[in-house]
Order: sequence, then C-alpha cells, then structure tokens
Amino acid sequence: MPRVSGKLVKQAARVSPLLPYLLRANPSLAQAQQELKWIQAELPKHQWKNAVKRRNAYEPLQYILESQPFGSLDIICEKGVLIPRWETEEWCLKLSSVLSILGKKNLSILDSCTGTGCIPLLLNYELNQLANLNSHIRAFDISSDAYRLSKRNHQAYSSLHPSSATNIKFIQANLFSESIVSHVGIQCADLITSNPPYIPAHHYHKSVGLDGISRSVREYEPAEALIGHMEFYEALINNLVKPLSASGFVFELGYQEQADYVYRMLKDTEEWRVGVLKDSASNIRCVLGWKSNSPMRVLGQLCSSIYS
Amino acid sequence: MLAYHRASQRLIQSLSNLHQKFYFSTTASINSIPKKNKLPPRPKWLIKEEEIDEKFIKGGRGPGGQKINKSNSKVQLTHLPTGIVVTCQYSRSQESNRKRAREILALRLDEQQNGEKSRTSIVNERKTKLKQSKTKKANRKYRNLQEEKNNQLVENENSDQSELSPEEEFELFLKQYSKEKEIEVEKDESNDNNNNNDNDK
Repeated sequence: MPRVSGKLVKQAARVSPLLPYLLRANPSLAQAQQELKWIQAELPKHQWKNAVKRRNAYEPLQYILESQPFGSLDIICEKGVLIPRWETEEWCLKLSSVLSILGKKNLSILDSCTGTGCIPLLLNYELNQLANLNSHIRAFDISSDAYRLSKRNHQAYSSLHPSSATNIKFIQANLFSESIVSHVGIQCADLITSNPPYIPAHHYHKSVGLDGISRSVREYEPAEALIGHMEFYEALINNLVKPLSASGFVFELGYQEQADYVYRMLKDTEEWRVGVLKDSASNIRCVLGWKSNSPMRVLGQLCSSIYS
Repeated sequence: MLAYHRASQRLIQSLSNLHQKFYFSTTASINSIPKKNKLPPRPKWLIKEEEIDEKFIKGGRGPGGQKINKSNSKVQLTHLPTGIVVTCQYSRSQESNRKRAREILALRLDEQQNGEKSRTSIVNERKTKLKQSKTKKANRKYRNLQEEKNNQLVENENSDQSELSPEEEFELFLKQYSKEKEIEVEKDESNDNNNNNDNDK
C-alpha cells in the first residue's frame, strides 16, 4: 500500500477532522469524501469516529455499515461471510432479465455456495416478485455463519415482500458430500447458479499487482469463501448439474482456465453448449452452460463467446 | 361635433383598455409563481436506451470479483447523438445511480432542446421567484414593524407631554373647580338680576 502523503492528509483535515482516516482505504480525496458522506448518512453521529477508525484499518465499508445494495435489495453483511460484489450483481440482473423475457413458469433453481444469499434473493425478487413466474429457489452454503446470515436476509426480505418470500428456502449443506442431492431435497433442477471460491491458494497471499488480492479482502473476508479452484467446478458439475439433470448453469469465476476446465468436462456430451460472460470491466466473470434443446438455451444470449 | 365626440370616446375606451391590459399583464408576471404540482414533468421520454452508452466506473481496470471489494458504483452515461456525458455516484447502490444518471441526462437533453421552456429553467425560475417574493414579504414585514415602532415612539412622546405630576393635576382641578364656582356665582347673580327685574315689573 502506498503511503498517504502529508499534503493530502492536511487537505482532508481542512474538510473534516474525520476525513484523514479514510485516506488509507481511498486513494483519492473525492472517493474518501464520498465514503464519509455514506457513513454520515447511514450511521448515528456517535458512531462516526469509530467507523472511520475501523476503515483506517482497511475494514470493508460494508462490514461497518452492515449492508450492501444488491440490485433493488439491501443485503445485510456480517464479518465471516463474503460481501456481495458488483460483478455478481451485474450478471444476476442480466440472468434474471433473460429469464423474465423467457417467461417460463415454475422454474426450479438451485444456488450453491450462497453466502449472504444475495443471488437467490435477487433472482427471487426479479422472477417472482416482479415477473410473477412462481420459480422455486433453493440455496445452500457449508458455513454456519453464512447459513445464519442468509436466514436473516431471508427474514428481512420477507418483511418487505411477503408474497414472494415463500418461494425460497435456505439449507446448510456441503457441495462435496456425496449425499448433497438428497440433503438439498429436490430431484431435479432447471438451473444451477453459484459464486464458488475461485482464487487459487498461490494467488491468495500476493498483492493486487501480482495477480493477488487486496489487503482489505485478505484481512477481513473469510478465506473459505475465497480460496478455491477447479475442484469447485468439478463438484458443481458432478454433484449437482448431472444428478439433478439440470438444463442450464451459471458459475462465477476469475480465470479463463476455470472456464476451459468446465468446457472440457462437458465437451464429450452432445447436448451441452458452454460459453463465457465478461463483466463491464471486460474481465472474464462467468461460465455458462445449457442444453441446446432446452429452454435454457436463452443463456447463450448472455455470452460474449461460446466454445465450439 | 357628434363625430368628434364619438372619436374621442373611442380613444378614451381604447386607452382604458390598454391601461387595463398593461395593468393586468404586470400583476400576472409578478404573481405567477408556477405551482409545485404544475411544473413540467421530468422529461424521461427523451431517454432512448439505444442512444445511450453506459459504463460502470469502479476506479480503473485490473482484477475484480472476489479479489477486490469496491464500494463505489459510479455510473457514466454517454448520449451518442449529442455527445453529452453524465456521471452519477451519489448512492452506494448501482441501481439507484443508474436511475439518477438517466434523470440527469434527461434534464440536460431537455435544457438543450427546449431552452427556456425546459423543466430545469422553469424550476430555477420558480426558485428565484419564490426567493424574490420571500424577500419582498420579509421587507414588507420589517417595514411595517419599523413603522409601528416609529408610531409608538411618537405616541409615547405625546403622552409624555400630556402626563402631569399629581400636584399639577390638583392645581388643574382647583382651577376647574373655581371656574365652575364662578359660573355658579354668575348664574346666581343673573338670577338675582332677573328677580330684580321682576320686582321692577
């Protein structure tokens, strides 16, 4: 982390005595001011000082404010559970828009490694609250912290949108267990979504400049939600997609080789098509698959490139 | 003579009409602060999604996803036909920033297309007029207060003059009393005179 210059600190102190604390996490004064505005808007006055001090120690703003906007929803965030990212929000909204246009009722959707529950809750809101498609959504996570938080988020959701809250169910389960399908309690699913841990262990301890991760993420967000590689995609295909005879999937990822790996797993089956989606920062972000004879072929519209 | 009379009457009438018109128009322009619920609507119809290039600025390129946790969600819209660029990052929510950026862009397009009749200029006009009328009212209020104060001061001065010490008042009373006495004495005298006259008769 580059040292914050004394000049900038003085400049910030002139605006507000709280502002210099935010400079370590925000390289520019304008960004720091923006964060201070959010802190002052969302927290009571007596917590401001403590909040900026926590931010000075690189704690993520979402843990301090205890929430992160996700689509039209506000997701509660807690230490120990991964904070929803804007990239996830982006593909989730794209996915729900093509599914709403498809307009197929009674879809069965399963979300693995759900964390806060942001993906299933946003899909539920878009498909069942707005488009009235009566989809059945289940979501699970191995971590008990995540399970508890997803239940809390579900409760918050149902107080705002009680009519669609019953279409979704959260479970605590392990993706790698052989009995995962019976544990989840469904025989088949149309669509599997997931944002599994996808940072290889050798990148986890490096800095951003060296393909690594930012200090704030390493020090505050749970490693078990971050460190992972091919084994997760293998388990998602073998333990969920195949046994549930799903006809489509969307998995978030961070590397081209992870998408290639998924493609290689399904290459030999005639019916599967696989493509990748880029986020608006033009980084590769998702691998998508669909059976070419199923309604899930609409997923092809989301892809920037399709394997052939 | 008759023709002349008619002509002059017409002239007077037209003059008074003119006066009325003039008078009417001035009061109208002063008093016509547009009502808040009668402002032109937000020009959302000017936004056509196919004419917009939308970008999400997350502070430069580089890795994203789980590796980094960005809290800002700046939205930048470029209106392709005119080249107007608008950014918005007032909220943490990308959704509300997208909505707000579109509202801002719509207002900018409205300004460009409708000039003085655009929503922004009418809203601004309303604001200045409200301010003017507020200062006017305030001025009027303080002028009245000042006048009242002045009047009171004058009255106080007058009453100061009319106020008398008890001794003076007593003297005044005595004077009045003695005057009354005199009148009574005079009356008696006159009565006496009358009597005398009677006697004379």
